[in-house]
Order: sequence, then C-alpha cells, then structure tokens
Amino acid sequence: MNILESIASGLASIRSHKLRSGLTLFGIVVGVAAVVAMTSFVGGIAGRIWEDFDKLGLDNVLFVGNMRPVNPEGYARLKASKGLSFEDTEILRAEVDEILGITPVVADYRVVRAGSEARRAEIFAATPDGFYLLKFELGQGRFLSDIDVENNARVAVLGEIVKEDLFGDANAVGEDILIGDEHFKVVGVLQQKDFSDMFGGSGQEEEHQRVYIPITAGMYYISGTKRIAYFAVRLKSDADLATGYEKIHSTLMREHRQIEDFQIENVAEEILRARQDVQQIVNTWNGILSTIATVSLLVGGIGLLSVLIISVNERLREIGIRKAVGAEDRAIFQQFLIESVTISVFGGLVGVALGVGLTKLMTFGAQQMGQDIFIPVSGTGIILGLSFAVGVGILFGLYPAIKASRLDPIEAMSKYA
Amino acid sequence: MLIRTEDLTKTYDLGEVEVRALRGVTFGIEEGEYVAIMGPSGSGKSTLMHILGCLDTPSTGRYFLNGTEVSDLHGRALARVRNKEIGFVFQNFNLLPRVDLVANVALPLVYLGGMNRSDRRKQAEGALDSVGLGHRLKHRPNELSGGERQRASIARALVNEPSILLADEPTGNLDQKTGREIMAILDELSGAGKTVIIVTHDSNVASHARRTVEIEDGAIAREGRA
Repeated sequence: MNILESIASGLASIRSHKLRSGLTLFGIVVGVAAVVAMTSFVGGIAGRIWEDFDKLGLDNVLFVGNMRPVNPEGYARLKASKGLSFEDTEILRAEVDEILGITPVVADYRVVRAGSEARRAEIFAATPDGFYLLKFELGQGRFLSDIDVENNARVAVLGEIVKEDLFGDANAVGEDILIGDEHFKVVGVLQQKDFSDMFGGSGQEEEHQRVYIPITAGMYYISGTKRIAYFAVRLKSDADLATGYEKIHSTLMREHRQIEDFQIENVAEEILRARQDVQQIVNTWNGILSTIATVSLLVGGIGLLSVLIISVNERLREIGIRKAVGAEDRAIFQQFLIESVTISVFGGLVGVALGVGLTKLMTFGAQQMGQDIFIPVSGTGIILGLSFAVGVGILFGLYPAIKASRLDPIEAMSKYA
Repeated sequence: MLIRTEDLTKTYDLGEVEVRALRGVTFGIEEGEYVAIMGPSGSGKSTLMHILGCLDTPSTGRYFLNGTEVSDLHGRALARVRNKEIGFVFQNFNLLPRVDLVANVALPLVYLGGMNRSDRRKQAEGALDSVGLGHRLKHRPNELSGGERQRASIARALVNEPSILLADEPTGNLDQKTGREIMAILDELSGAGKTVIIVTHDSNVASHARRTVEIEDGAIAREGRA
C-alpha cells in the first residue's frame, strides 16, 4: 500500500460516508477557518497600526525645549542662562553616539502671501536633518540643503495644506512668497502620508500647516535672536532610549553650567509604550484565537477518532485479508494513519477556504461601514491552520491505526462486517 | 521436503478452560504433492491450516517450510513468509468489496514491494486470465457469481507464485457444478506441478487429492493415498 493509494482510500472513505465525514470534519473545518480568519484579522489590524506608527515617524524621537519659568525665582535663574543654542546641537551631535540626527528649531507664526492669497502659518526653521529626522516625505521640488543653511538662503518648503491654500492646484515650486515682509522662494512641497482611519489624520495636520525654512534664515528673519526654541533629536534605532536620554541630559547640564534651563520631552518613550500596549492587545487576541482554535480542533479530533474507530471495526475483514496476503503491521498502521491525515487535511482545506472567505467578508463589511481597511489573508494563518489539521490527523489517527495494525488476521477475517 | 512438522501442538487458553486444538502433529509434504487435510469440524484441521499458512504459530513443536524453521517467527517475518510462500483460497473468497478484481489480485504484490503499479496490474491481469476471468478485470466482487469470485481468489493466491496453494473448503460456498469447476482448476494446477493443500470435510472434494490426512481430536488419525 503506497502513500497515494492510502490517500485515495481516505478520500474514498470521505465520499462513501458523506454525512458522517461532514459531521466529523465540522470541528476541524471550524477550527482551521477560525485560525485563518482570526490570524488574518489580528495580523491585518496590527499590521496597519504598526504601519501607522512607522509613518508617524516618532520612534526614537526626543524633543529638547526651553524650560518655562514657574515662579519669579525660577525666572531670575533662567534669565542667567543662555538657553538652547545652535552650538548645543553641534556638541550633542559630536558627543552622544546614540544620536542619529538632530536639528535646532525656531518657530513662529507669520502671515504668508502668494499673489492675492494669504494665510497665517507656522514658520518652522530647521536644518536639512529635520526632514529625514521627522520622516517627512517630499511631494515636489527639493528639501532644504546645507548650502541653504550656510547662506541664510531665503528658500522655503511648504506643507501641503499651506500650498493648497496659497496656490490651489497650480505649481508652487519656483514661485515667490512673502513671509511677513520678507521674500522667499518655494523650492519644495511636502507630501501627505496616507494614514488609516483608526489613526485619523492625527499628527500630520500640523506638519502640513507649516512653512519650512533654513534655521539661519529663521534666526535672522523670524526670531531675530540666536535663541533656539527646541531641538528635535532622533536616536539610532538600536540605541538604548534611557542611555540616550541620560547622555543628552548630562551633556546639556554641563554646557549650561548645571542650570537646568531645558526640558526633554521623551516622545520615543511614549511611542514605545503605545506600541507595547498595542502588542499586548494583539497578544490577548492571539490568546483568545489560540483557545478557540484549540478547542474546536480538539472537538474535531475526537470526532475524527470515533469515526476512525468505527471505520476500523467496519473493515476488520479487509484488514484480516490484507494481513493474510502479507501486509505487515507497519503497512496497516501506515494505511490508517494516512487515511486519518487525508481526512483531516481535507477538512483543513475546506477550513482554509472558509477562513479566506470570512477574511474577505470582514474587509467587505468594514468597507460597507465606511472604514477604509483592507485585511489581507494571512499566509501564516493558512500554514498554521493546515499544520493544525495535519497534527490533529496524526494525533487522533494514532490509536485507531495502532488498533488496526495489531489485529490478529484469523480473528479479523472471521468477522462479517 | 517442502513442509515438515514435528510434534505440533496448539493450546488455547480460554480463561478457566484450556482447549488443546492440536496434540502433536508430525507429518511432511513433498513439493508438488496434492494433499487433502480432512476432519470434522472441531477436529483441529482449521488450526493446523492456520499454522501451515503462517497465520498462527504453534504452542510447541517445530514447523519447517522450504527448509526454514518458521515456527519461531513472528510479526513482520511471518508476514513476509505469508506473502512469498503461501497462496490462500478461502471458503468465503475474502475479496475486498470496494475495489475491482485486478486490484484484489494485485494485493499480495503491493505488500511484496519493489513493483510499480502498472507492473502489478499487468501481472494481476495475467493471473486473472489464467483462471478464465480475463473479461472481468474491472468488475467488483459483488458483480460476479460465486464461482467467478472463487476463481479470482485463486488468481490472487497464484499471483505471487508461492510455494504452496492452501485452500480452505474451497467449494464450501458453491453449488455442485461450480464446485466441480473450481476443483478442476486446482487439479490442473496440481498437474502443472504446484503444491496444493486442501482443507475440507467433504470426501468428494478430498478425493481429488492424491493423498489424504485425516485429523481427529487434534491428531492425525489416518493417512491414505489414492
């Protein structure tokens, strides 16, 4: 009895007992379908959230701002310090290995004009580092460059909303704008990132309401002082957050003669915590999913077991005959085990089809409710579900197969079943 | 000597009672012989047939088949001997109901191993042809008459070219005319040099053999030659 013949025999046994096989397979079908659908669902939703986190681009990002005075004494103390400076960023960049990129930021509101259109916007002055550091994406033109910074160049990159307000659908790159009373030339426009609904457009609204200019131009034309509003810092992805935070803190304390006139906003830590929260929800769901799947597969397995025992008893004569003409115990064992696995894998395949259907239905349902979500069918879920089916087939086929293989041929042949 | 037994006994332990089915059987069968083992039901002839056919093992005593002692073989080794040396013909045919005649006859070749499916089927078709069933290859057992089924089971017994053809009441489930046809096939096989052993309680059937061994109460009571 080779493997193909055993598989054929398993399929024949499904065909000849349709109702019985159907009832048997029900548990396995449901179990596998649950694995596929739930893995797809959890994986799809979680994947979308991870993607949003990535797009948000605030992993490993810290903001260093000036300390705001809380009382007159504090005010006096802060008056004595020089505050955050351009040089601080150079020192931090050189001394703190954990830093991937750092930019000083000066920001203030001005009226921005182009032709007859005007609006108020936040003027955001930074170094070119700031663009990749905050993971902005370019729509048209170019980002700011180091040469722009060196030359106090009056060039600007527009957030997309600002661009829409000032230029509509027309081209902005190369055009002149007025920031306050100063002429600037538009060199680029940012591109909006596509966030999922569950995240809203949060976080990116404001970056598209800004006009970006070189830090030097910002100090000269906007703030009129060398004081920097804040630094945006991105740590290397493999860096330890706490160590990075500590080093930045101690370096700045040293540079500022132990006056703590700055505060570090640890966005990275918050993002990390949010990611951990989501991961925990995913883990909980995976736990629920595993439990449902395990229970229904056990139920399916027990059904399979009883049907296989019935099948062995119905086929005692067949087993006896096979043994009489020379089948070894092992051959009988193998035949029944393969039949068991064939039946369970058949159920598994039906379950996969059902699970894929359910997954598509979830996407369809979500879209009907106005959610722009696509839940991809999880390959891992399919592999997992089919592995479960094979495992159930082997586990619950063992006993009937052993029972069949150990039958005495004379006794078995004497049965009239 | 193809078959030689030395003082075979078989005792069944049925809890409180011990049943001594065989009480010391010593005899031999030469290659090419045509032997009938006779006896009333309960005499122990079925037990003897099971041991000779390697479906069972004796409690004590020795059994040599083709010069090899098989009385102390078990499980796998015994299955190999059944597969290669013995061809069974049963009273109730014992064909698999769900597959066609070719698959039934090819069954011993499946467990012989080393043959692909098409070679197995070809050899099985040859065996079916030799018993006059060349036109029934794709039929299932329940589509055939009793005589045809028994011929198919003879074809299955022969397909591995075993040393011994062991027939257990081969005409027991057949009418007289069909029974005679089956016996004619066995006679023919014997004539061609095959070793044939028939186990029967029917003296008409036994009369086809050239030698009879009568079993009573688990021992050989009489032997005779035609």
